[in-house]
Amino acid sequence: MTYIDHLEYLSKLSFTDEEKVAFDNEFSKIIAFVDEIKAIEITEEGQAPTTVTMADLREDEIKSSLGVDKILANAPREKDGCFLTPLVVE
Amino acid sequence: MDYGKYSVIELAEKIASREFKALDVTRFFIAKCEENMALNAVVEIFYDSLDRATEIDSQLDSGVKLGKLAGVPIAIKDNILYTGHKASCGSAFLADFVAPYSATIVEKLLNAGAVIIGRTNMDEFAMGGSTENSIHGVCHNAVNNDYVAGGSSGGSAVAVAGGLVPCAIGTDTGGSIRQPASFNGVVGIKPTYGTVSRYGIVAYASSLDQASPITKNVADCKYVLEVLAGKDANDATTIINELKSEPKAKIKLGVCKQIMEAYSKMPQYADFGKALEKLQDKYELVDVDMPHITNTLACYYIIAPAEATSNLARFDGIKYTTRSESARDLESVYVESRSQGFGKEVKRRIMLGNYVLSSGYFDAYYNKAKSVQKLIRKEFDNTFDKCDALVLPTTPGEAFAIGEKIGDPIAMYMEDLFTVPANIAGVPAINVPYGVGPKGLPLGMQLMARSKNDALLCDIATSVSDIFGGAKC
Repeated sequence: MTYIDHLEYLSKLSFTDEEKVAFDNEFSKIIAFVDEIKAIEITEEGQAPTTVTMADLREDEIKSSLGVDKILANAPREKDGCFLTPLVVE
Repeated sequence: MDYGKYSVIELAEKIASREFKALDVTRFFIAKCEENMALNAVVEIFYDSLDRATEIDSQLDSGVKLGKLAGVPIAIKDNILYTGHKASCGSAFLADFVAPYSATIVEKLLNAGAVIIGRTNMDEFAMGGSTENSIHGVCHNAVNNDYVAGGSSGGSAVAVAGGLVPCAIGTDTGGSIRQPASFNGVVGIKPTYGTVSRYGIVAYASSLDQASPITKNVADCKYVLEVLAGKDANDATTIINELKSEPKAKIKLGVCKQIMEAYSKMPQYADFGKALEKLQDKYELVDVDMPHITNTLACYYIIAPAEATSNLARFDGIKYTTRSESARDLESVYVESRSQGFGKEVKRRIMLGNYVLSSGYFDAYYNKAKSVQKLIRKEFDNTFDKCDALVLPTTPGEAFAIGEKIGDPIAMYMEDLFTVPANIAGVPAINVPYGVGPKGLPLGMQLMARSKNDALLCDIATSVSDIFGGAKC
């Protein structure tokens, strides 16, 4: 399995062989470009935070939600108030 | 009556005083949108806005006091949810998606009395710098139609610059408000991260995304930002940002050595140098050293795709409007729906995101980029100890021709070189038009300030704008 096949699998995408060749060419240039961060020396431990602290969270209150009909209005397929998928369990 | 010559603030005042009718103003701007459909900036006009304008008039006539945007027409980017209206994100995947609820910022606009008259074109899922990657087709630059609008909020910038609306809301993850604002000669701000709620805006990179107004002048921009800003129970990353400033006697503007060095290789370096000379009469310019500022671009193209790949995992062919007709089992529902629904650039960024997050690469790319982000934030903090704001170009040059960079992702990514630092650092940044380049297209100057100093940034931007001839209205 090539790295593109692996990424294709992780991404749940599918490319033709022709697209993969073009992609490989572009992708290697993009990786070479972002590779510059590898040379940056980090002297301090830690990272920029991506999470919020508990103090920032709202009170845990019960609120009404949008309702099934509104949510399912955008579903490509639905049945009996549920999203319809192909059979997953025999 | 030419309502297009009035600013947002003037329109709001004249509608409130009943000199103007909201319905007349709304009809005027809808007609402008209809006349300019070829620009491909406003992709759908919301005609129910006429009913809303009538209702606003009726309330104002009966003496009801409404909000500060009562009767003012505003367009919103195609990734912002407005109940009962389509929001396609410029993607085939969401072509038929109808918003089941409104974004917090839409609720705020409506509570302030705004009349939302349409949705604006954008690069698919806000990924792009030209508004060429859209299911709605290419958006054209308002000044010269052969050139790109910039992106990803290209439709919003062109709609304002072309006089289709007095204000349009965009979103900015790596420069998507400021770059198109620069290309079209209008004002656009990216506020401090957390100032504006992201609830109800289709996520691209959640830790970087911010929504904000694009207008013709700085005062309007701040006026509308005040409506949008605020802590939101539905977005835990929102902060309290008062948007208030104290008058300062002498403003120091920082000129970054590394930015100027990068810009010296670009065509508008001399123009920008002359513009800086003009600023010297009013401001003290100080040189600042930010050794890692140009590394923010690489940092951005790791963090943003990593978050995008997670955010876009929700588009599975089951929940949101599109499912491949040929899919036969669950796996093919995922794979075929996504492969058919997403465009090329979106697929590229999903793959890139999975690459930097995958086993064996996670530390070298994502973790490293987050460490570099911390370093860059510290560099910004230290810089703002030496100056009140940074002054730098918004883009490497004027708008480029349609089709010129679409086949070269790296060239397109380089467009973000001067805008991404504000997103990576989380600080506010604004584009102010300062001149015209050799192609006759607008040039933009960018100002950045310390986090939560958005109001000071607007004060400085107002006086900088005055130096360069002020705004068009």
